[in-house]
Amino acid sequence: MIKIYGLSKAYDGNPAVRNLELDIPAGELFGFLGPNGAGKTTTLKMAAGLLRPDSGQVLIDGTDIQKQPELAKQIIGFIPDTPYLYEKLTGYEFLQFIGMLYNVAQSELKIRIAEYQEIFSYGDWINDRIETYSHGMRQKIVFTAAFVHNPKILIVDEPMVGLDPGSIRTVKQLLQEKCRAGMTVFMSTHTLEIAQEICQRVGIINRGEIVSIGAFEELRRQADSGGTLEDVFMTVIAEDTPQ
Amino acid sequence: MNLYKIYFGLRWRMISSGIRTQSWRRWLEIATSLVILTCVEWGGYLLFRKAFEFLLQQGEIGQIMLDRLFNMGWTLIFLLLIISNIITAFSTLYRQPEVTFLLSTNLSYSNIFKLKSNDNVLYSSWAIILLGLPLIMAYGSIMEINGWALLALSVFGLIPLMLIAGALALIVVVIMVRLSEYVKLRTSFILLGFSLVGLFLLYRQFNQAEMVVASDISNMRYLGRYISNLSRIPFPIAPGYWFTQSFQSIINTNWPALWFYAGLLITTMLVSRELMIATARKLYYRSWQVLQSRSRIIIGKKSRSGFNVKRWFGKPQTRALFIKDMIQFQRTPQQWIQFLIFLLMIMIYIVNLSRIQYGLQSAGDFWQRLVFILNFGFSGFIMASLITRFVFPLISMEGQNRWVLISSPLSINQIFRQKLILSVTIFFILAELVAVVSGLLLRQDATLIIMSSGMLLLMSVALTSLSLGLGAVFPLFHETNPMRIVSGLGGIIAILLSLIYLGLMVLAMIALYGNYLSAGSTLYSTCLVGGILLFNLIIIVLPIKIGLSAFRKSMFE
Repeated sequence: MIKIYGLSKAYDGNPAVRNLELDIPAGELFGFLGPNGAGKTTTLKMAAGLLRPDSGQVLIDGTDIQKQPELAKQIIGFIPDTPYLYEKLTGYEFLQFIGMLYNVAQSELKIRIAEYQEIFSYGDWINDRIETYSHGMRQKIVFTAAFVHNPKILIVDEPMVGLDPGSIRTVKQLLQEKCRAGMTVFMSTHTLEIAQEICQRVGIINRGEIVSIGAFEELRRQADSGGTLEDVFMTVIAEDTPQ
Repeated sequence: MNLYKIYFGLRWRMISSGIRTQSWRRWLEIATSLVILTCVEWGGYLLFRKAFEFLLQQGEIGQIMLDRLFNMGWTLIFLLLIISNIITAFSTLYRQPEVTFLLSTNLSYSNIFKLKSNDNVLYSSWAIILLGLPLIMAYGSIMEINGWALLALSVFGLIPLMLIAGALALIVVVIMVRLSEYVKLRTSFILLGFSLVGLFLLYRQFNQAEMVVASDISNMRYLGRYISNLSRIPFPIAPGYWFTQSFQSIINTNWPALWFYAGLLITTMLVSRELMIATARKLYYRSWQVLQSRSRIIIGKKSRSGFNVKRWFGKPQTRALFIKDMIQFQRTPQQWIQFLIFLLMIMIYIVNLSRIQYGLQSAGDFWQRLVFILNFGFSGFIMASLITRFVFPLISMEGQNRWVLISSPLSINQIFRQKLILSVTIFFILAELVAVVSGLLLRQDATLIIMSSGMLLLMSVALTSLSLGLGAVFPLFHETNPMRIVSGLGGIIAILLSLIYLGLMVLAMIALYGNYLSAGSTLYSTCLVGGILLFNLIIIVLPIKIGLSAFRKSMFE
């Protein structure tokens, strides 16, 4: 569903992502791990069409996101690491706005918003201006916004930041359910326990390159480690980082 | 260590590090804008000088008119300084994350207020002062004031003027925010607006110089009464008046008067600053808390949302962008208050036009022509100011939220086109209203009204595309305050280019009007209209093309 070929990106000559290759099939929940500055967000942004790569190609369900961005983005839901939103709109208005951008019929939109309102237990605050929201409330609105047009692919950067324990659990269950229903999730996270718990495959990126990829058991074998994903992660990064 | 030393030291390090890391492209932009700025300042100087020379040729009344004009100019600039300070103060004192950070440190809130109030005065005043400088230079040179004296007067006069305006504005803002615990900010603003309009109307009622019309000039009794009324200079208690009186004291070598007015300016500055600090000491921190504790801003029922309106034009995507922009505008007081001020100025102008027409009937051809051209120029000036102020920041205001648009299936062209259509529609309607209503009030014939309406139509489209294009070339995505976006380098370039364009269009109108009056050749008229259309086509297409390409690039950075 997401195919990445030879993707590279540099900022002012400093490479952030180098010749990255990745293939995420439909219905997979893929976890993308790496230390700060490893190139996770840059990769996700290029996959979502928010950044132009220096070289390489991203195919979304067979469509090149650089060549036909509108077509590719129609089936993507994106959740950024920092949820900047239109502060002067209310949460409900923001969701209506997103629905209209993705051409969702008003009647259908109402049903979907109501559905996620129940899942995320929105209170009356959905009719307050976003400028008064906490980080968690914003994150819930962003999640709903990513789902209202029923995307086939969800690209999500640090999904759990700011969420309360109850919401984290809801999000985990929601992502698993969506994947079972055929949605592809490309998720970056620093919360290794969550990655270990819900991801079918994990890729570890360091200094712009994928240094390890596979299901949790495969990673353990590759790293020759019998511990948790955290142990595997630390071993892989330590091996790849020059002393 | 001294707090100011630390704070300004930090600012200086940020500026110098910014200077060191500028790219050659940025330096080129800065150099270009400096050249444009110098040209416009020089052009403004020449324009004012010509106008003053013309007035002085009118004999004794000319000198009185000149002094009155200079005085009115600075009274207006002082009012603009206050308004500008009020508008930026909300963001500088209450909304900036830096204030939250500073308040979390061990600094006293009155010290934080002092630091931020200086920032506010600087941000909100520099562009206005820049517009006032040609007025000083022209007045000084025509009245043959010594260069050094002019420089000293400008520096020592302008600083108190800026600080007094800043202090008065901040006192008003702090009190209003503090009162917002009991009265809504919007209600306070409306009450303040009504009070100011009421005061102005009262002043106008009791202190208005009698109108003199051209045919009455032969009657010395009327003229004498008019001239004696002119000595009642407007707002003698306003600092703008003291500022201009300092200039006149030097011209008349009246040193006691100079010391008196300079003393008035300086003592008022000191007293108003003290008053502002005392108000801040009492109210600032509490008012900041009041604003922070407004945790909920409830808009109302879902059914009332603008996005529910079904009978709308266009595709849902375009509709969504329109509605989003309109709601944001309506809920941002900095935006609609300034828009209302502009509308109010237009209304005052139009109401005043209705008085001019009585005089024009008996005035000669020269005055009728002059009023037609001046009306066209002023209407264009209003359009240029309005469009730059509201259209230039549109792209920057997408700011940090632009991920929403880029990650959606919207094309970059669609986003840009929507902003262009929305702005052109609003400003085109406004331009046509001003052109037609002012034309009717001045009792112009139909051809002239059609001529000025057509020119203003072209201008509204060209000025909009110029501002939108430059807004995309010089975006400030990290800035949320539209006033600051427009006061930046790009905004200044936009207003300067708009004024140059306006000047060229006024010249074109003079040529077109001259040919119409002298019943000149049709071929000449056709060529002229063709030239105007071609020129405007370039001004419309070029900024859009450049802006679109810059917009595409900046959206993916």
